[in-house]
Amino acid sequence: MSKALRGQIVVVGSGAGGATTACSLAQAGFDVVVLEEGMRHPIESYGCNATDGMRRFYRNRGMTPIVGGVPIGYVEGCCLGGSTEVNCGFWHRVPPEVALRWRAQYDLQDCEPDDLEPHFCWAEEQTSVSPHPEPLPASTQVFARGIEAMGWRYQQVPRTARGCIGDNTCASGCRSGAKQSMARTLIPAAEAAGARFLTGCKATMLLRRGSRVTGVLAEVTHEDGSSSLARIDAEHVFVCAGPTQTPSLLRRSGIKFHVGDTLRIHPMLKVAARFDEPLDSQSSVLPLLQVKEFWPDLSIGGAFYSSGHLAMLLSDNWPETSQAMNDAKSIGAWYVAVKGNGKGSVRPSMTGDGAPMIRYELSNEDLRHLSQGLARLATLLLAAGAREVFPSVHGIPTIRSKLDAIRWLDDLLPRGAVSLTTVHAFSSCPIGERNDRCAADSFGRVHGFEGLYINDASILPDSPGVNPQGTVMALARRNALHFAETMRNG
Amino acid sequence: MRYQLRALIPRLSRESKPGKMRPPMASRSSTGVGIRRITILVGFAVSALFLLLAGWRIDWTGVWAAYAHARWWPFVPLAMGCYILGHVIRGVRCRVLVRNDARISTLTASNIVVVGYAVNNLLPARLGEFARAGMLAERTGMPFAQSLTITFLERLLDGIVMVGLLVVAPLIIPVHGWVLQSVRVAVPVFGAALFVVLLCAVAPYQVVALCSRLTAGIPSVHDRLVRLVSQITQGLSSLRSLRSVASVLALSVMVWLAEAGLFLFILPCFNLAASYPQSVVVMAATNLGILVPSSPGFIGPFHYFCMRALGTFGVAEATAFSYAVAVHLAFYAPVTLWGVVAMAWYGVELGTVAAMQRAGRSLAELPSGAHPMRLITPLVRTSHEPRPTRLMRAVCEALLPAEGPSGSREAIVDRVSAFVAGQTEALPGLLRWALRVGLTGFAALTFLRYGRPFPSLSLERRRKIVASWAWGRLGLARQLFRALRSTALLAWYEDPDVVAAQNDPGHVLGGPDV
Ligand SMILES: Cc1cc2nc3c(=O)[nH]c(=O)nc-3n(C[C@H](O)[C@H](O)[C@H](O)COP(=O)(O)OP(=O)(O)OC[C@H]3O[C@@H](n4cnc5c(N)ncnc54)[C@H](O)[C@@H]3O)c2cc1C
Repeated sequence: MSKALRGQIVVVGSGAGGATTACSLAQAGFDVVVLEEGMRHPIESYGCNATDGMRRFYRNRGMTPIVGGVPIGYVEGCCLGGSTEVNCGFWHRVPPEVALRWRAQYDLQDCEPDDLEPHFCWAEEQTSVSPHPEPLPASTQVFARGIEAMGWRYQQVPRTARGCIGDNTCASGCRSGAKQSMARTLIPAAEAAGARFLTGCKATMLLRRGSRVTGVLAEVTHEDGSSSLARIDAEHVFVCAGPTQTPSLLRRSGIKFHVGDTLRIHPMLKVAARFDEPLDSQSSVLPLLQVKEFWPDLSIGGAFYSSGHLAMLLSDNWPETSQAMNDAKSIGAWYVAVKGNGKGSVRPSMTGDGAPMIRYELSNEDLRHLSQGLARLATLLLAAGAREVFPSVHGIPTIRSKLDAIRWLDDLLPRGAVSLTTVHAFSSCPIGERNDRCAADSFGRVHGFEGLYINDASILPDSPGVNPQGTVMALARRNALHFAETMRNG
Repeated sequence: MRYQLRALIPRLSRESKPGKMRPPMASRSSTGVGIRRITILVGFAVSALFLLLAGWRIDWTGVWAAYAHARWWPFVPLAMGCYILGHVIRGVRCRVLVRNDARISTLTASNIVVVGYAVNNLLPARLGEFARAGMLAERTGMPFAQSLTITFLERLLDGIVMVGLLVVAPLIIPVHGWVLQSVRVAVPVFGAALFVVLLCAVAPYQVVALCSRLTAGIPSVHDRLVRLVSQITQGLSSLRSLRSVASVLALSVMVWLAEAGLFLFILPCFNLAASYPQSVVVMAATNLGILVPSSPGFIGPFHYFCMRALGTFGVAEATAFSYAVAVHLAFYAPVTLWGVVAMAWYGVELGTVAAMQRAGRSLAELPSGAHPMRLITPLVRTSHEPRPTRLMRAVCEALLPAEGPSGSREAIVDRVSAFVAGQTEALPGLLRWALRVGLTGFAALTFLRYGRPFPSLSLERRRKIVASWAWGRLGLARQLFRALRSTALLAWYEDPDVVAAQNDPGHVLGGPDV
């Protein structure tokens, strides 16, 4: 192996981007150390109830709201494997028209469908992407009934969960181990190739000498629970701390060029619907279909469900809707997600521990699409036989007729009344050759710096309009291989 | 010299039985010793100079006469009692300042403070501050620099209170001459120090980042500086909570109001009218004066400034000098005695201090294989589950369904409010503050409206109030309650008892009667 290949690499974060980077580089022969802020949890501790899960697997215990005119609930993982431990594993490739847009608007090189094909194939193989086995759960069946009644295009979305037994524990780690999260797949593979994962190790700052990044400053938790501030030297640092933490870490370290200025999200509005028949949503996998008829403006799909989550969803109009809790077994949850073309930003706070302040201003277009999405989803669910639809909008406790529903095709939902959430954030450090809008080049090398790369959801140039994990992994793989190739060629 | 990683992190003795400090062996630098000798000599010279200034042209017969007619009983014991009380309050303040990192009892904290004072009384060059910081480090397991920062912070708080007292005093009694001028000098000095301290306390990451960036090119300097600055910012962490700031400020004022008793009760010994505001001014001026480096026990500057301050109230020089000597003795003797006893009890060896300071300087390799990782400093972290306040519990109870699994509602409400407290504490800084301010506003408004604190209202009334905020017309009120209502309801319906009851077909759980 050449001398350069033995160079030391620090990867910050072990989620979809970080684990892919670490595994690819370790397998290519590099000496890789991964710093992960969260802890390594044994599989026995997976699948706990929502409250324990929030404490164990989520950043800030799941309390990381996005502020703005309309506050948006946002969560992300903070554990070995990152958000892939708590996500639902829905898998999409980046739509070809989106990749072309990235080429046209960001001058993103080597990103056409053919270029990405091998990387998607690799990622899909690693995570065993496959459709859910038959029979589909009741909540999916009523959803299909509604979509067919409306005559809309839809697809069953494949997942990274081959052999899913549908015990509905996605949001607090898959107890059965069926979900092929990073802790089950790429992290063991990276370790087998020699990468070392330091958990409970939070990178607080990047160290640099002029424009050369030389390592990181990190808070390290020791086995006995004590912690220390440590300096970790490296020849190359890959920051893969996720869409909110990567820009925050970069900016804390004085790296600000197009960093954290362009956060994008998929804002989601959730609804619950009560049927006459039991759906048993709390003990089965969430609805597996997505309506594609209105893509790219909006997507409609199934949301995670437990009685706690249902209570949260109903809590906007609790005095009127709480009785529905008695019928929890006949209720399911769905969402309307929009592409999101509002403006967002991430800034580390000047005070305290420098935790990021995440902002997003919902655009009028977002709100219009959300309103129309509510009209369509409610119509669909009523067509499927729902007796009542409960949107998470204050002042609209129930929709009982299609006439009530279609009102929102024309009217705008009141801004101050909608309760929005999201689990998809990206584009806070876009990549591409356009210096006027990108933080890093097409392969994640941060503009103006030596030895510094970014390789996670923050690099997507803008909203992909689909669940992002697949795209994050394919781009991360592509960038890591490009790096290895560049090093090999000196 | 390089130490093992473990050796760098003193055992967290935290209220373990008192033991000896065992300083690591360290070599002495000859320059350090030289500088210390010069400091000591200068200190003694300053003391001599101030004694000379104090005794210059004094009417010694007047001094003897003042002593001959002095009445000591019961004033001296009262004066000493006040001074000792001041030290106990200092102990409480020290406890509050280290609360984020360690738990110590008030007795231990007071002993630590007093050891510092005693060493200052016995040794030159304010070595007492180092002794106090060293003992604090040993008792709490905190790094030395962090303890020294806390000691510095205590000093700064003292200075700020004294300057504050001197600023307020002219509103109550006439204050003249140099005392007022000294305030003009002290205000900007303490103001600047306060600014730096607050900056380190509220923006620790920014300060560490700045130091790191400035020295990134010189790794050895970088690590030492980052280490020092991190420990300093950790030492100031108690200032990040408004409640702690308020309590340490209040305690600091109490310290000095108690200590003014020392100056007050010696006045009648010399047939001087006992005026509390006057004693406060004399005390503040004297204590600002003894910031001048001098011999052990502040002999010289103490007498000079005390006497001159009393002089501004028209007291004759001879009487003022006699008064200063008496106050100094009451100030010196009891605390030195207490400090020596405490040192003997804890086994503090004078001279360990510098060694401890040096011990903290070395860096260690982190035992993590071949990767170059260097430990810069241990971080002291205490993780504890936040406990819900009474208000939080009362709000949660009012948000939850009236019906609960039979017999266990109270216990579930406890668990739910503990969960909500943990969740709201986990919110990012600014939002956490906004929620706290909002809840305080909510509590204040309901108090004004109903004349009783919210938690004392009946559950029925609370439910009505909470419903009108959480689901009312006012968007801001709804936003305030959004996090609370959704986390409370989530925790309720995820609670094992509620889940079990839900699975029981006969049980009805939904439906609040709001
Ligand atoms: C509940 C939920 C459901 C989702 N469902 C889907 C889905 O079905 N399909 C889909 O495609 N996508 C889904 N997503 C989104 C998807 O999981 C993310 O887009 C993807 O994981 C992003 O990868 P990442 O590497 O950028 O960040 P992450 O996977 O979040 O990983 C970032 C890692 O970096 C660590 N880190 C952060 N800061 C530091 C630091 N300073 N030092 C050290 N470590 C640090 C974090 O702890 C974390 O482990 C979901 C997300 C969530 C939260």
